[in-house]
Amino acid sequence: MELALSITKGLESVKEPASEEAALVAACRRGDEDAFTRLVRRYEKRVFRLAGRFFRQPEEVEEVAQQTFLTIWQKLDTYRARAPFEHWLTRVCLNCCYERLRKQKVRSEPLDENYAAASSEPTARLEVERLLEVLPAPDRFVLLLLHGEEWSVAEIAERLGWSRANVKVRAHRARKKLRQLLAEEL
Amino acid sequence: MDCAQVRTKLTNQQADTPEAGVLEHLEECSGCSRFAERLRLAEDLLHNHHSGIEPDAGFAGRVVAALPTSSSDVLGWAAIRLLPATLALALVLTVWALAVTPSPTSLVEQAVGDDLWSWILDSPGGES
Repeated sequence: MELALSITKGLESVKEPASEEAALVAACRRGDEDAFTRLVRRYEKRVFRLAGRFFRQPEEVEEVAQQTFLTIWQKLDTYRARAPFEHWLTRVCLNCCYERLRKQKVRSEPLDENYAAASSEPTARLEVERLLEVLPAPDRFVLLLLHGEEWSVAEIAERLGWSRANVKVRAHRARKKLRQLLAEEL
Repeated sequence: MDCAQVRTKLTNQQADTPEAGVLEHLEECSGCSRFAERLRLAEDLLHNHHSGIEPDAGFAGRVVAALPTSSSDVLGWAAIRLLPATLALALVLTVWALAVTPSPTSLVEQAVGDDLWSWILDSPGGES
């Protein structure tokens, strides 16, 4: 009896955040800005962490995060709740990152200065950093998802709404470009 | 296995350890060995590439402040601000309309007078 009770309580504690989230989303749809504030606080770290994969300047990360939440607010009516809200949020955030990356011509900042400085082989590391800087933004985007987030092709496809074939083609193109750049350097 | 094949395999490989043929080639070819090392560094950098930036306490407030004002809000605000002026204008128009509208009896009298004059002017004897 006690075991059954504890299992039920456990399930309730798992279910509660989801129902709370659904209530928040419903309130946001009605234009409740207080509910939206709570929704932003709930997911802001997640969005900053994801945007931080692609951008290094604090103002860039904040702008992408802001753009993500503004898009969420404006397009909340299109969220059908078939998938968890977090998945939809991730897709919106990644699309914002991708659009911003596409508009950037050339990276202005190195990938990771501190990491390079601390390395035992700083010269090689700096060379590789420089190569990654000149990698086209769409290629860098896919490689960061594959190697940074360690997502599979299927996961990238699902989270971005791309087809698996599209992800494979993009990943293949990105790896080929990286290979060319590394080979040119030798 | 030539250098191009080895480099393609290295770039596309999913596992951490390259296959035996690739390993043999790497032991003999210094160029491909350097390539493999650079590739490992690149993947390492991509893996560790993160700004580490966290949102500050005021971020949610800034997002909400930047929310666009919806058109219904604008219309609601305008309606509230213009309500007294609209009511006053409606009152003035009602009073004016009542003042200028003729009464039924004056209309009847005017109609009879008009008919009489038209009968006199239109009749054959009246024209002489």
